[in-house]
Amino acid sequence: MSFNSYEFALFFPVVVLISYLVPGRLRTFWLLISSYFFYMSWNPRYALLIALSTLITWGAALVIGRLPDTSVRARRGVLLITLAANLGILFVFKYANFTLASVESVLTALGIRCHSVRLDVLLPVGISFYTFQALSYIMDVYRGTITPEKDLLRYALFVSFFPQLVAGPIERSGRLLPQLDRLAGRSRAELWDAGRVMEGLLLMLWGLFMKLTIADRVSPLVRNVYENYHEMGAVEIAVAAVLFSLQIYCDFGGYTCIARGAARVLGIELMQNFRQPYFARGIRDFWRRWHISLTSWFTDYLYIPLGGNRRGALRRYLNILIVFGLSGLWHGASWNYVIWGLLHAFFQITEDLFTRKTRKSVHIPDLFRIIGTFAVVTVAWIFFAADSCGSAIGILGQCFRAFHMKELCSLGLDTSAWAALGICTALLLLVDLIHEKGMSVFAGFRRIALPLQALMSAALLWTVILLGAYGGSYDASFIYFRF
Amino acid sequence: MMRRLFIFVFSFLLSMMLAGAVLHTVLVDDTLSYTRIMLHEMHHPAENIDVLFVGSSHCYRSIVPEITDSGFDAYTFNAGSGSQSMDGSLAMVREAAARNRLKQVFIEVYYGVAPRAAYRSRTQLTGIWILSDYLRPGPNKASYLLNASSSRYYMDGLLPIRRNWKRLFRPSEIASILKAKSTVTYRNHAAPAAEIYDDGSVEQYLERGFVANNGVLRDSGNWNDQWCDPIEPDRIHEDHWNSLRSILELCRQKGIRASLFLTPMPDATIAGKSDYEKYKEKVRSEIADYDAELTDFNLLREDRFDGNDPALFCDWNHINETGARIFSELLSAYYSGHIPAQELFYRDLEEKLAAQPERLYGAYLGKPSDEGRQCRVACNRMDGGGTFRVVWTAEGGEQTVLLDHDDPGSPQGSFLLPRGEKGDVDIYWHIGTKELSVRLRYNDKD
Repeated sequence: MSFNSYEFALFFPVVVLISYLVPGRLRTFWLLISSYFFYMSWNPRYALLIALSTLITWGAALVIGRLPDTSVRARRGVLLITLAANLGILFVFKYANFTLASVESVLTALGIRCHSVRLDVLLPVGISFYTFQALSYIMDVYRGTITPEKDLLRYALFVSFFPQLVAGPIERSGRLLPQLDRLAGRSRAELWDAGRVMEGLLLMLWGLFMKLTIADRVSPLVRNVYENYHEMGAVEIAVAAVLFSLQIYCDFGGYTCIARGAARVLGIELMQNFRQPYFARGIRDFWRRWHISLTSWFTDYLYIPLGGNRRGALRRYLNILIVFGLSGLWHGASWNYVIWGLLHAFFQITEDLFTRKTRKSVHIPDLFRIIGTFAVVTVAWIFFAADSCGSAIGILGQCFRAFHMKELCSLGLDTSAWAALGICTALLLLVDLIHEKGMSVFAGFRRIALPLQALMSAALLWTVILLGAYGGSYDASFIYFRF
Repeated sequence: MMRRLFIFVFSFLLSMMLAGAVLHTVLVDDTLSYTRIMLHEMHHPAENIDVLFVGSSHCYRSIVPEITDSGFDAYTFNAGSGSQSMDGSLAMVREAAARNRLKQVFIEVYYGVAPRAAYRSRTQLTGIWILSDYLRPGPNKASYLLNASSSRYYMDGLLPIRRNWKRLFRPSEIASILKAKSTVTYRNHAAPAAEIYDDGSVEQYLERGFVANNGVLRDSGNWNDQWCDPIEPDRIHEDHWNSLRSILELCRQKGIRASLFLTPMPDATIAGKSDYEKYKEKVRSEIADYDAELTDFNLLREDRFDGNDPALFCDWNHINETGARIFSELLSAYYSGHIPAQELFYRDLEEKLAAQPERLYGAYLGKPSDEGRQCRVACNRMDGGGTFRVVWTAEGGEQTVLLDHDDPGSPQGSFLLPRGEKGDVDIYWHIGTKELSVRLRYNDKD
């Protein structure tokens, strides 16, 4: 059940309505079974894995909570076992076949014959997200930053809360658990806040706008160019690369808006996961704006424990390589994702070296920094979008080999589609620019007259309905659901 | 707070409806739509509709309501539409039955619109939407749209403006639409102007669903790529039969008499269908539990309706206005009991063709392959009866005998034409003491 499906359009109002009507503790239970229902709509067996991860981390947190602070080894032991168990599950379902294939390739390259072994497993949707969310909880308990959650239902809801279950944001227990606690205690009158509900719905609509009118609109062209890159020239590949940057932002950002909007309607505030990423003025700045929840997760639970930037430049650069390499691997069990991550590490290291050397001597205007950052990010996205490293290298290579140009309207978008894309992208740019200037579109929206608010909302809805790329000929799945 | 919410919701809904109405006006071009007029007439009939005809283009081109009115002494209505499949016919029966006391329903059952796959696997939905766009909002429309396709097409089905969104970027088309919609003809739901085709034939919506076409079949010798395609009735999907049974069940519940019929087609069109009678048996077996009969008007005797008279047909599938008027008289007379079946019909297709003199229709143009195009002679003695000789004359004048009378395969009349060439094909049919011939112009070059 995807956010842009009719099933969700029926599911969500029912969940909201009953959530508003039932009393406190039942609300937690209701949201929990709704979340599991949502998750099981992909495959009922997925519920077993998330339940297992939930029970392991919940139980381990209680054990750690009961152990005295002086029992360092015991506490660490429990933590390590929990990490191993959860990461083990993640490894089996996501990385086992990748590892086996890689080992096989190495052995074959060394001239050693081996049998091809693969596990017959399906990658459960969202496993990377909820595993990291559960791990952040157990590590926070271990560090003592939060107390263990005794209420299993509330904790299970924390892990499985459906708006953010399959593609984030990866919430921290310190933010989400207290909200779930307060939600259970709110009366119907307190819960029903028309302004909050309208904002939530508007945010969901904006997410659908990003997903359907932009991300899904460019998808056929990007797919066509990347799958047939041998026939394409540098211009087509450049166009596809830029459009993929737009696609992945609008796909993932759109999903996040829908997730945050849905949560807001239910009375929960999820963290912001994107902050106008393509206005970044450097790679480091980009990662403070893109998939913020994952960046902060890796920062807090890997980068800083590895030493962060406290052990000299070389160690810092090594840490950056490790973090980004693993971040790439988190995105997908394939070497092209690892290369993507390492490219970002390389860019960040290069940027750091450049900044150190030129701190006071060179002033680069913001516009150039923004364009430059966008360019390197776009190049890196080629590895993200390609089927394999070979394809990615082939695509890049084609840019230097072929300088012919096909007609843009023959690549997968006709004139009308380009026009629609242009209008919608301009609107997105305007909204992002407003936010970049420190203003809030929502705040401005709230200040205008209600009829005008209604008119603008209706205009946005009609834009999604008319200009959205959905129906028989479009693949409407969210990109980040593959992780 | 509630007041603010009310203002917002009211303003939002009003904005949505107004914008929707404006967008529909500027984007949707239904100025030439027949079904828009037909359904408007169905929703605002001059009297109670007593007799309803439903079906594909074979229906809307063949039933003349003014004739069937007097034939049945009732108010009749032709609710056929282009490529109307059985679920569309069900929707039309439901739509008419909702506001009329129907006494009789005639269901046209042309095999060409019976699907091989489930309704939900449809990707070509024009035949659905030309009806659904004008059905009254309600359970009938919802049921029709929800079951007519997969959910991927729901939005396109529900909102015609969604299908026409590209027009937003074509201002000249918007201007034309607005101009056409501002005419009295459009606003009064009057029939659009007659359409004149390249061959000079004229098509015009007349009244109550009937569309008249004055074209005639021009070539007696002809290539046709469908003559010998089998119907394969066992491959017709269960959805089709379920819809048919739903119509019959509805008729049974409401005390409406139901009858099934096939409209006349040129003899050439069905002569090559080796499983034509099997198709009719299949239809009858699927409706065995209902008190409904299938009447095949392709079995009409030549003195009543000549299936070889090109003046009665506008193409190889449909009768023209002249044929429709004769057919409507015959249909009315038959169902009113004024003419017995034995006077009108042959027993089956085999008897009909056997009663005719030998006729050479032309040839069935097969699908292209690397070897060439596998063709087959089309005549009214498809299974046995004579031998064939086929001579190919290329554009340069070189002649090749592709099939000769003494070849083992000659009686089957199969021959292979070259790809990428242009020329003449002379077919000679030797049967008994007769020799019939036809020349066909073949062009696989341009």
